[in-house]
Amino acid sequence: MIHIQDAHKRYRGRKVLDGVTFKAEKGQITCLVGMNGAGKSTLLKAIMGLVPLSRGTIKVDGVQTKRELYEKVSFIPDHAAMPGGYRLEEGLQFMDDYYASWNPTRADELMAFFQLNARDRVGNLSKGTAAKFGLVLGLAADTEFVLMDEPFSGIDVFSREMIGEVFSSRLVEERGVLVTTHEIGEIEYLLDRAVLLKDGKVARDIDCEQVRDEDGKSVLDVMREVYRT
Amino acid sequence: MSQYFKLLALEVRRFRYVLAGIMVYTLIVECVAVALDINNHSRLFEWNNDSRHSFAEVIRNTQSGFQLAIVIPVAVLLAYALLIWYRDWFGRHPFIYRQMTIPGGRAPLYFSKLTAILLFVFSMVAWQLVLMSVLRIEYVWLTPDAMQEAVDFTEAMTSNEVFNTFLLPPSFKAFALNYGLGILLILILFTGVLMERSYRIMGIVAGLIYAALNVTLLILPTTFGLYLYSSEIWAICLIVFGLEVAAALWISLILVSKKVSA
Repeated sequence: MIHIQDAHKRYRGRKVLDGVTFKAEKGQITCLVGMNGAGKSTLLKAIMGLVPLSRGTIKVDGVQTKRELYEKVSFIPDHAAMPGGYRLEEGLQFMDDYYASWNPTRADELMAFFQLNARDRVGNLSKGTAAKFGLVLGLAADTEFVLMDEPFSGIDVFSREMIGEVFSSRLVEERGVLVTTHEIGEIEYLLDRAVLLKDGKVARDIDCEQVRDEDGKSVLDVMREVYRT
Repeated sequence: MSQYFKLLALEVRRFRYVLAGIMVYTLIVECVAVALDINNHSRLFEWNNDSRHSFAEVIRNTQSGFQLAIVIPVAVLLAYALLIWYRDWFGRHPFIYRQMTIPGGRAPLYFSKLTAILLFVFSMVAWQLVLMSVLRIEYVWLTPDAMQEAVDFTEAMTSNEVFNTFLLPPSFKAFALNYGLGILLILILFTGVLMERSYRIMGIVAGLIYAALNVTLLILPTTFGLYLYSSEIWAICLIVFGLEVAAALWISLILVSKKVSA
């Protein structure tokens, strides 16, 4: 379980996170929802130690984040995070060189699934193809948690479908997934939890199935309630 | 340790073409400078049967050529000491995300970048020594036999002020001073970059104050040590230097591990 407790972060004098607390369980897909600048990406980066928090703690399976975390949690940013001059095969080799959790067989399967050419250069990839390659890099490792930052942002409809398929595949089964997205419609039916951020705070933390069954509402309905008031 | 060596190999690989480029540039500029000097002297020699022209004289006469040959590589390496960090933050696919999340901590990342810069600097110095042999072959090849004069290789090197005062000073003290200050400069630059990457605008201000403080502390003993023996001033400078190196490493490692933002 990833447990974020009382996370505070200021950026350029503005409170981006103001006491955010929530949990993302293993075996569940948790979606961080919020308007632009709500601090969704900052939270993911903070979990990975890419952004220091002003205050608060982040624990993964009860342990405060440290070096070993990177074998346990993969981060899929909204870009490939590899040098532009690299060929995709070099990117895969880089991961194999540095991560004990890297699974080359799964990487090959994913490359085939996304129809990526290992000889292409990272710098020449379109946004959609780069996002798919980012997914390969993030999902091919045998990690317990996967963090995805805006996996559908600026991507064509067919690529979205392919990425959407990933969410319902064995690739994320049994893992804990924490995803941020504006395009909630693409994966709404797959979500287990949704954490709605507003003004740096958690406005709602919902069990999606419970809200669907008991209130007859979708995540989008709850979002309207939160963001239109 | 293996992470460090892998990262170092990665840094070397990423700079290899630029390094090769500045090496070729140095080769061309120095070869042209030597050829021009030999050509000038050959004409004088034919005209009035002027004196012989040793390799040491050629090297001494081409000092401006040598200066031109090393100014560009020095500028490139200094710029790269900044770029080696910033290059990974910017662009379409910032690589820093990946580098900062490599298992095993961030100290290997810092030391790999630092060692890479030092490796490039010393590669250029070594290349310059190789070039001296190349230039000597060029001298023998272009200079008429009657005009040639045999001299010691070391004499040729010491006849050039670029070697004497900058690249390879003959005394160990001067060598240690030059390269020690060079290494300290890189360390201060790295610390400044990490301050900026951690605190952005406030980091720039802090970096400039930090750099000014380092320079002031280093020149203080030489400025106010009028009543001290030179060996005492030297010892104080050495202590200050050691403290500044230790402080730069300490601050940088804290920043890169805990404060830097991607």
